[in-house]
Amino acid sequence: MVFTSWQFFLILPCVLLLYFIIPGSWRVCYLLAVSCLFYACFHPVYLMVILAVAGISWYGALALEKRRMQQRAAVSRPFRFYVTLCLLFLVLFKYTRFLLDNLKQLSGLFGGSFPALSFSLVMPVGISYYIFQAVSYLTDVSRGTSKAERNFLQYALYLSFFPKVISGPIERADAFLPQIRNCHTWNLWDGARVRDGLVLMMWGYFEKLVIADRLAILTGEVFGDYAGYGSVELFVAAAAFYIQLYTDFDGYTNIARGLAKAMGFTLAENFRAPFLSESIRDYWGRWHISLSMWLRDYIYIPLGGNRAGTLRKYRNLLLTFLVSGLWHGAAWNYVLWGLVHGLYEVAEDIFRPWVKRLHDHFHTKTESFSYRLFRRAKCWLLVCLAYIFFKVPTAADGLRYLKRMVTKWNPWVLFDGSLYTLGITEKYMHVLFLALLLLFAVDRVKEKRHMEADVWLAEQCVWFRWLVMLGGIMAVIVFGAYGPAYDAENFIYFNF
Amino acid sequence: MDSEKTKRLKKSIAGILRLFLFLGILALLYQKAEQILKLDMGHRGTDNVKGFYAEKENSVEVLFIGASTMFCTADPLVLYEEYGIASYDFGSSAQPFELSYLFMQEAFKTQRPRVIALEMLSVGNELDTQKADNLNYGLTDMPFSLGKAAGVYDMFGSDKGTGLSYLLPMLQYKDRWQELTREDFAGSGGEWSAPVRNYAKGAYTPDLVAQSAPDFSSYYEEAEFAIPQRNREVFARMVSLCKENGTQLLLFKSPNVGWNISQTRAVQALADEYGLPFIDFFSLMEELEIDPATDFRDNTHFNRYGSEKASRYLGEYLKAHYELTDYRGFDSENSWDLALEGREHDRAGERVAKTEGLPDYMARIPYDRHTVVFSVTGDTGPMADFLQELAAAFGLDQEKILAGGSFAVRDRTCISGLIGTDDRPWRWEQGADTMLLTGYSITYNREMYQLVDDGLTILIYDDAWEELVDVAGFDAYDPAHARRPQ
Repeated sequence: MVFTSWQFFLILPCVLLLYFIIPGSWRVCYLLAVSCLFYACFHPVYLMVILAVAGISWYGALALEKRRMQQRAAVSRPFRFYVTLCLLFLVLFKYTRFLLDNLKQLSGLFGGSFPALSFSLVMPVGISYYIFQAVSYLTDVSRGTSKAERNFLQYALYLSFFPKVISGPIERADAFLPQIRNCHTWNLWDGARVRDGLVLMMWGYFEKLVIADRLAILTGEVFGDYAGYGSVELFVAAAAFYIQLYTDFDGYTNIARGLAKAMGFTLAENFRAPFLSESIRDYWGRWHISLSMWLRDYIYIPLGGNRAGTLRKYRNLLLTFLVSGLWHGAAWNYVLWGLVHGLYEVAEDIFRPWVKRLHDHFHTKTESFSYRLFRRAKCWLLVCLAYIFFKVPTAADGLRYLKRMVTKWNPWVLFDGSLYTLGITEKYMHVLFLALLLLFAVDRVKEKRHMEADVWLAEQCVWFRWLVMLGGIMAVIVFGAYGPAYDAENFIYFNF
Repeated sequence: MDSEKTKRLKKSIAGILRLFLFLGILALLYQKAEQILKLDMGHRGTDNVKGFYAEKENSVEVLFIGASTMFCTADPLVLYEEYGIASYDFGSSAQPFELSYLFMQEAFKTQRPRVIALEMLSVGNELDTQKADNLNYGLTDMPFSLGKAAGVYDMFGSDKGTGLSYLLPMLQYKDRWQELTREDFAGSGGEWSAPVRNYAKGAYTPDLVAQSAPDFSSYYEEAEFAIPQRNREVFARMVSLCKENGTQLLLFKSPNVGWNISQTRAVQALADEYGLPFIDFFSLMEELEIDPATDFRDNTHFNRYGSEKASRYLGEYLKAHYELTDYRGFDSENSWDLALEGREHDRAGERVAKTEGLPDYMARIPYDRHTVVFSVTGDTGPMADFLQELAAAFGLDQEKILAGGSFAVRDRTCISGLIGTDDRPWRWEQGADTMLLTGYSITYNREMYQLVDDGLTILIYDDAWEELVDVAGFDAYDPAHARRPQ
């Protein structure tokens, strides 16, 4: 059951209402039951997988804590055992086909024959998210930075909490488990909190249905037949895909965070105005923050981080981004995408002193608007180019796309109306333009005032608040890409 | 402590009131947006459905249900004018059989008809929920009710999400914002417009003749045919629904190319199974002197002339077989009398729009409930005397008009004065329509009309329907031939 399905809209009010009226002591059980039902709606077998992962990591953490209390040295082996056990689920469901296909190709290269195995396990939605959560929990407990949770129901809810189970944010146990432990004491009848949560959800739906799913039509059209388009359309589609990806994922995150907020929970921030990034490092501090932080804390730093010399630092960076690429998808194009971002970061680091020297020499006004705009545009371009590999089916397609983009120059399509034939009508382009202005304005507020859209709106006077809420809901209803005329677009990050 | 409690209670009540106020405003906005975005499907659905709900309770004695072949066959105004039968055509274009059952259920909410006459065209077709138009014609303007929800739920097996979009028509039409026009915002106006009453009582019988006569030669070719099981079940439900309500069910089938004798036999067998009468207009074509060359507007539908013949037969049949009241001449207001008046009004417009020569045209101009605009331009030559008489008839300057000018007449009274070539333009507005008169032209809804250089241009606007009836130009030297915009 996805957030944009009609079933979700019908069931949600009942779920919320019941949550508000049941006694506090039932809340964990109730939320766990709802989360299990929500997850089982995708496939009942998925539920078994998440419960198995929950069981293993919960038991593992208790065992690790017990051992750690007794003798510190004995922790690392069982820690590896439990983490491997959890990761096996990920490998089994997500990477087996990829591994088998590559082994087959490799054996073909050396003239060998690889047995033809048919493998048809369907990957449970959100598996990458909850397994990363389980791994971070095991790591934290083994390090002693978190206490093991004794109540299995509370721990299972931590992994399966329905607003975030499908696409995160990847919550840390020390931030989320205390909320679950205390939720029985909360006074839920706080109209302002519920309202703010619903406003955040509305903004999420706006991003998803009005922007992302419309852009999906354009990107689907161009990426689906990129060999039939010239440079301008390919560039527009690449930029559109970057915006689509952001509004799709940020839309989901805002719906999840808004829903959690309405229920009294706080989920981690996942995006902080990534379009305003001025460098690739800055970008990763703003994009999918919960994953970036996870990779930093559980891959990059354990590998040595930047403490073991420049070359080791670059190796660690590349390895971390390779993991990030593989986490996104079991295919070489994702690996290449990760590698490209790793190389961006390495290049940035290498050229940083050179660039600084150049600026000093030419007395560049590095704090000026124009210079910052240039940096943002450069970052945009680099990110867009990398996302081509994210969207195309194979790495070879990505390279061909790039080649066409620089060789088939056709600037006249900017003037002859061709851009309106890419699946989005001229009138909708105008709506999209206004929606994007709004998106940038919201991001700007986030950047400048460090506050979410709902918090900013809560500070405004009541007539303005109502105007925005009513206008927002009507805009989603009228301009959203949903209903029988549209193929429902799933959230892109569901696939990871 | 108590005051703290009271404070909290007051705050809670205020919060709940605010929530309801917000939801109320949202519902209003939604309703308004839906009203604007919903497509007006005219005789294909909107007029028939809205018109039915506007009928007075328990006023319809004979109800016709079915697809377009139903409302192009049975003309309630013929049935009323000639037999005094109060009937209504309650159906929509390409209406699936299951939808006819929902229409029947809806009908019994407000009416207790003695007879329901069901057109059987769609009995052979299985419901195809992918054909959105076929459902939209009938469902868009049907008000939301639990009965409608249950009917739609029943129709949409596993695809309940799509079914939901027929209960909230905004979901079907939300993308229409890209094609909205001024008319969509103005809503439907006019004295006889559908929301108030459907002056045609659901019938659609235009004065059109098919370019080539329908070829019914394949009708007698035998073909394998079986009524789908689902439709048989639906039909059984229709029969019992009519029984429960004490209504007699009558089946009929009008002729259309593509229908064959095997299908007729299957319907006859179904009628026999339930002991119901069945009128087959295929077999009656000779008896009723229905001529494919003149009585059809296409391969599937009767035109006005075919419909009149079929309706007279239906009138005779209904009178002979059922105890029906003759509503003509009742003292109390009768919507069928008003409908006849509306039809006459409409036909007056039709007649003038087909007229060629100026004298006949002038004689047929319907002044009642119409705005008529005259515009004189250029050399009036041999038309001068006529124009002076025209000016005199409306109390205008007989000399000035010969130098050119325009004037508007409503209900036989000049409402603009004579606008000469040196006068300021005269502006007029009704509903979404606008008109601008200058000394040498008529501009209606931003379209300028001056159809002849020398002579007279006449524009007729229907005040009741709020629409343009005709624009004709008559050259001063050739007034026998009307010139109309291309």
